[in-house]
Amino acid sequence: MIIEYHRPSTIDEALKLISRKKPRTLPIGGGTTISGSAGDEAVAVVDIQDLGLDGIKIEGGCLSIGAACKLQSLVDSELIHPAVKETVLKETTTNLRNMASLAGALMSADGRSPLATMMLALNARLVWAAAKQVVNLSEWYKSNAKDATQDLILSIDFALPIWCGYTFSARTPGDRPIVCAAAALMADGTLRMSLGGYGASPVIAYEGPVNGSVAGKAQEAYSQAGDEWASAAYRSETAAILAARLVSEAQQANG
Amino acid sequence: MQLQLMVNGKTQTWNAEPGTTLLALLRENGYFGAKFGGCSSGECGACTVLVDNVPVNSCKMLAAQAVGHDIRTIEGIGEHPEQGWKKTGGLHPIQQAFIETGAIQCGYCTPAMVLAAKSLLEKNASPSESEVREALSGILCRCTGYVKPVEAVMRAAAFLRGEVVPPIDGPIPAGEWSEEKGNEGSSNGSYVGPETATRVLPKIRTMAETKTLNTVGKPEKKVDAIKLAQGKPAFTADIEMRGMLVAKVLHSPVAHANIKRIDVSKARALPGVAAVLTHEDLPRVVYSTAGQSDPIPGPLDTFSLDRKVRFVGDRVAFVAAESEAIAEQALKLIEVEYEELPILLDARDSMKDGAPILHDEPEFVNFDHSDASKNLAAKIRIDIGDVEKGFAEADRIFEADYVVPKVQQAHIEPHVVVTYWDEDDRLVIRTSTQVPFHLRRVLAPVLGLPVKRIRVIKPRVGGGFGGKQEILIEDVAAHLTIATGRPVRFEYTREEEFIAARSRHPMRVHLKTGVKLDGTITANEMYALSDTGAYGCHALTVTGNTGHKSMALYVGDGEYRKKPNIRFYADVVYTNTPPAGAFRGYGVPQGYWPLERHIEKIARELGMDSLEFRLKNALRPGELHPFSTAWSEGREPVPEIVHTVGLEECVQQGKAAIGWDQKYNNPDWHLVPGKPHLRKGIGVATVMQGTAIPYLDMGGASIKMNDDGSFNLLVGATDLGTGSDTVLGQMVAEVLGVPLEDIIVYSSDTDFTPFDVGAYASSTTYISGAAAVKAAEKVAERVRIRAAAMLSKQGKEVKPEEIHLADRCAHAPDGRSVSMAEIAMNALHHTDQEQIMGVASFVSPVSPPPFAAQFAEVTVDIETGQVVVDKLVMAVDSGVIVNPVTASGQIEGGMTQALGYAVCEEMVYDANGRAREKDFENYHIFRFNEMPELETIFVETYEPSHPFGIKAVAEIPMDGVAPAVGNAILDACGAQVDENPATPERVWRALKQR
Repeated sequence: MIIEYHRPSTIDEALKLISRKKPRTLPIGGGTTISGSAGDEAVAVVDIQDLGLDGIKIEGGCLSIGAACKLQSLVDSELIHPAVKETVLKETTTNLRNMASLAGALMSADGRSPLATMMLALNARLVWAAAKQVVNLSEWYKSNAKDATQDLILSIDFALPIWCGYTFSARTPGDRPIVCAAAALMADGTLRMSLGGYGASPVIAYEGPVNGSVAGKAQEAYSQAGDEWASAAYRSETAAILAARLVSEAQQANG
Repeated sequence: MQLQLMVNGKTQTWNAEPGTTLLALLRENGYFGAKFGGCSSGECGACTVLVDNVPVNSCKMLAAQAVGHDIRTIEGIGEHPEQGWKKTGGLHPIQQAFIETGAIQCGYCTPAMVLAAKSLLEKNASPSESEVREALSGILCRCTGYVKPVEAVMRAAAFLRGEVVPPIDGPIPAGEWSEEKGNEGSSNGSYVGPETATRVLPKIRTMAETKTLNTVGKPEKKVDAIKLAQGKPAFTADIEMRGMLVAKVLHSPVAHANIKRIDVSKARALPGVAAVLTHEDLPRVVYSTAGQSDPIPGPLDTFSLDRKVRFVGDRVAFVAAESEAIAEQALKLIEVEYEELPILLDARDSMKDGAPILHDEPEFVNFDHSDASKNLAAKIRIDIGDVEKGFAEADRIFEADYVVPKVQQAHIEPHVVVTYWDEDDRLVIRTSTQVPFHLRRVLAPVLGLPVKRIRVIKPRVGGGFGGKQEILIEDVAAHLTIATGRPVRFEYTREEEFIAARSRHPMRVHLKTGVKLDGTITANEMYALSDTGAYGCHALTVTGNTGHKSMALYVGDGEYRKKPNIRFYADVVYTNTPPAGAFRGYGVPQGYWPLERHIEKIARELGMDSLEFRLKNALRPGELHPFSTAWSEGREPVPEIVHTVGLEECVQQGKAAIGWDQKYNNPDWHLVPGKPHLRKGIGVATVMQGTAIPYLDMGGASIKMNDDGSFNLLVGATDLGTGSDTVLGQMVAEVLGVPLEDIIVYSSDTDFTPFDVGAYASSTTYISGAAAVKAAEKVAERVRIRAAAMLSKQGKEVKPEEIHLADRCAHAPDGRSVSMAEIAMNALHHTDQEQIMGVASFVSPVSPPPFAAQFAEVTVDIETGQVVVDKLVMAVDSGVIVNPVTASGQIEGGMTQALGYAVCEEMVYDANGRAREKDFENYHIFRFNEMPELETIFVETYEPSHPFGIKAVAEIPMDGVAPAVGNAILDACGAQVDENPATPERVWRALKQR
């Protein structure tokens, strides 16, 4: 239950509110996760729409996306790679893309999130305001601390890859993936492959040079990935197939 | 907190809690165009408004977030162009286009679509179709299949660019028809085509009989479209009443248990709680929730509240409170001690010795062969001819097993009801229902009221698809109104729709078919094990239709055609899962997945062309419906001749539209250049349905003439968005010789409108339509008599039978005429005053089947098993088409629902009976931006049992899409998928078994 609504105009003001112990105070970008969901706990929300955190910029070969940047802004931006846009389009509907923020989407993502899968492949980093630290998204997912922080994400940053790609298996073209794979090839020749479609968050399946072992690593990464939606046998074999396709694309892109 | 919001250009100052959503605040203040939709994570988009000119879900936005932004709702977009003396700007061109193209069916999501389209067109005046689809993809529609909404936006865009927009009913380019002809389908009709469509109109091969009509056969605008385009408060939830309480239900968290103890004292003590009811508070009246005619053809096994729960989601207690939040809080304060019982989830275990018995209550009332001691809700044994002899005479016997899933109707408007006592102490039930009259009859004893003290009002219904052929939640609100004396509103959430509403019966089907080597079917046998879930609503009749409609299609050839050998046996059993019930198609899609997959296999095994094999054995005009001699939903069967069968022509036209001959046996076509892991495939299914239930379904209509020569048409039939009000109005207008705009259609209210069984069994246009025609003929007779008298008084004598009604006038053979308005004034005010009116009802002795050929084209990933459906074509014989726009809308929407049945929709439960699917994220229904191409072709026949020659259209599109897709997958890659939906893993497994 939301008992307070705040819309600060400075980051300091926002942090002051968010750092309160009582009531628990949560930042909201689009608010799509919390609005209309009647939880038991009395919480306050801090709306970050006036903090100027909605920009997209490239600095030093790195793309920095403001925490409050709407997902649809990513689709509309010329700075965003088409494969990343594809994952945004697959992430949620037009209406929700007009509302949801990138930070909120990543914080509330589960393993079936195409966008989070892509962001893992891109080795996205979360830039926190109060802690003044940068945390890799993969580390953040591993820490399983999605709601524990009393901090505010300022931006999501990642180094621009020379190529990135996404592919999936799903019941329909617009459905959540049963298995998906995203990959990014960096200028130093490092390929980063992530898998999604299963579990609490996507996972990194491979990081290293482009070689013939990637598909096997993907298969291994999902060897136990069985749940009510698909068997581990299906997911691991399909992960390998999707990984091999992305490797092939990466090789073509890399000449 | 006090909020200042800019809504439609005006500043509004409203009080709201910090957690109040924008949707809640808008509706609280009378902006009813944004709908609730029931979803919890914004999946449906029915609540769309524009914020700073982009579409957002107002249910997922706090009202406080919208402060400082420009909010636009449908109420600010356009309004009715004629408001008496007040001149208005009229409707927005987008609203106008939605009305003209038939993009509005139930209309629940229309405001959302109009707003999203407005946002798009203000940014992009010339969008591509894919851009339109993407822009509107945040809004789910379960009615239209998205074809016409996309056409509406494209049309509006052209208009707004200043282009000349062609008329909807413009001529069709020549050369769109297959030159090959089928059997012409009809015993007494003749084709006048080819002549066909613009983009909006489907191809229609018209009949000579409809050629001369003025209103029937024309793409008239829906009579309710203008109000729906404006988002008027037309739906059940769109009213506020003083002192209205909000109801909530406590649902069982366990699948099977006795309630040992229930303590509601804390809930009752919570401030703001008006009532808490448990099984201890209510009279114990056994009934069935199935909305069917008397006697209910199924067991009586349900109580409003029972001391036992039988599925996760079953009812435990009812709460009424001042607000939703208080009601939710009260539910949490109810203490329940369950004595858990062994659970039964697999229908194959239901009749085993020692299986847990779900219905051990002494009040259980059997119907026919139901047997609660064996968990048997219904049992069907139908033998036609001599099946064993037929098998003995066969050269080959084919046997196989098939599985079809439990799926949800998923109407976007949830179940919703408002109840209140009126000033005469009569209970008013305003509800979103398909069956207002059945509801009144069934609930009367449950509530302890005589029928005469209940009034049921059906406002506009936001989709039903059979889910609202159920008396599902009305008793909850009614009991609470009785308990409190106050108005009560109860609306399901989307999660409740999934865990505590109805669904399609899942079945396991065994087929055995005997065939001669020349392709003659000698005997055909189906056994269905049908899972009705925890209650037996519709158990017998749904499953009976599984055999009745599918197994009737292939009678065999030669001597076997004269005396077919068909067997259909079924057991319908209880399990501890949410009850199944009525869902568009009513058991028939469950029959056609196995049958058409099976027929395809046999044809291929025999080396025959699969369409030739089908047509060789299919029912033909003039033949007996084989099941009509054997079964009639638990009543005495009466033999029926099938007079019209347009199947062969449907096959020819469908083949041409999908390019069958260029693709089916063409190896090159099956390959995708540059994509070695992809294969294309093409498949077909031929199907038949029924049109109403003979000797049972009855519709009534009443028509009265007004001073200006207009007519009120009152029907008990329930338009769920199908357009039935419109087509009934068209038929009446045709008889009376007036335009449709002179017919004011109202449906339905048990106090005012004649009885009608309701909207199900594809009956409304046929049954209720015939009643409306009969009533119109009575009115026309009175009009002619009076016109003849008026004209005779003026000059040469005219006999009533010489009068011709047309163009709002009664015409004498010598050219003289009087207008309808003059006749009305004469009748009501001037001479021998009378109220010209007519009342009639209709019940049919036959159920003429519509027929169709449904084609699918797919692309299969042969490594991952992923299937993408690229195109669906349906050529259908539904008799004469009264309104090609509304009828094709039915086909497109039905095909889209059936597409979900083919590839993605299913309801799955864990080992404790808990649902996997509780929302539209996990239960995926197709969206705007992922649809295949859809094409509809009407092949008219003239059904002689109806005054305008019509047959049903609503349900048949559900039948053939899934097996056509299954057969296309087989064609693509050789994978035999015998369980639908064809998910990637099922296809992947089938690929490994090739």
